[in-house]
Amino acid sequence: MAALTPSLKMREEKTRMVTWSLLLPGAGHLILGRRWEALGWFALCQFLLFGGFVLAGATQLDYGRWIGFGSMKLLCLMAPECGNFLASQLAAVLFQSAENGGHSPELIPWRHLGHCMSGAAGVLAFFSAAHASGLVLVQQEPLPPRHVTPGKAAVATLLLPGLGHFLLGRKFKAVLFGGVVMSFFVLGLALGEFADFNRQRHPYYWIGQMFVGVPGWLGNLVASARSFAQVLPYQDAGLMLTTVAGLFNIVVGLDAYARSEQDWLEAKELKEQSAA
Amino acid sequence: MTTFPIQLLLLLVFSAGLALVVSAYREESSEKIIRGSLRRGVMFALAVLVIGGIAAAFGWTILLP
Repeated sequence: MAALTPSLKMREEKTRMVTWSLLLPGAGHLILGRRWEALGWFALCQFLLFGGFVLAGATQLDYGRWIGFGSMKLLCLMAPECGNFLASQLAAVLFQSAENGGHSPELIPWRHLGHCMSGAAGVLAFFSAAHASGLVLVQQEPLPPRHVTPGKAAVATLLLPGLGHFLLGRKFKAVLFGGVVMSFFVLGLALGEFADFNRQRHPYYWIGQMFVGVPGWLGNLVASARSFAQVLPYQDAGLMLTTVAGLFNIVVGLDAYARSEQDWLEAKELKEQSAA
Repeated sequence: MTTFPIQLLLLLVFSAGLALVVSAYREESSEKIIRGSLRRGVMFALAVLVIGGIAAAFGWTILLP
């Protein structure tokens, strides 16, 4: 069967939902009339973002960059928090980094948890956009609820790499994707003696590492508190592997979304053919 | 201190992982994924080795201080 693609109208609607969801997680769901899901995504992302800022003394701002004209600050770009765009701008205006106030971040006991929470909020916001985009397909081309929606497949990838493909019945791909992402992540951590997942030490690598999803976030809580006494011989390779694991997980999420969408459109076409 | 055999091993591991993910993204059947992975993995590892070899050759000759 030739690859089916959503109609132009549906693609435009999906783009609109993705844009709204990236501006404010839950906004896309609200426009689609999914009030409870909208509230869930909004509350989860904002709780994690603002809770993270409070716990880390807003030291997230030290890893962001203000852009504007001259002395006028317009936008604060923090990755991956900027996935939750409007709320991250509000947080940047409301809070001031404890480090700018003269406090050492080392004295903030919950800073690692705070960074993990606010970073997770940004990553979740990206996946909320995928979820909202999948709902456009569900509403315009309805099927019985036993079918896995593209949004659910993408979000499942964030829970555990490969889980989205497993839910779609693609067990070979699930094992392959999950195996590669998790083995890269664990091997990379091992090369850095399980201490190389720390925003303070490696803020740029940390952005990619956060996209490993829930296993990565749990690993971050353990790894952030660790430190090493010497420079390790394969530390750079370890950092590269853990970061690439996160970037691969984005590819896995996109693939889960696209395969689920394809399955959905094929099932819809088969249903229409049998009805005719 | 890093050693060449371990760096080579890491290159092979990375090439295999990259090739598997790219092949699984592009293909649907397991047979095509495995065949594509072998081809892409070998191509990537060879490309890196050739570029590394050229860089090492320059380092040992005209770029030697």
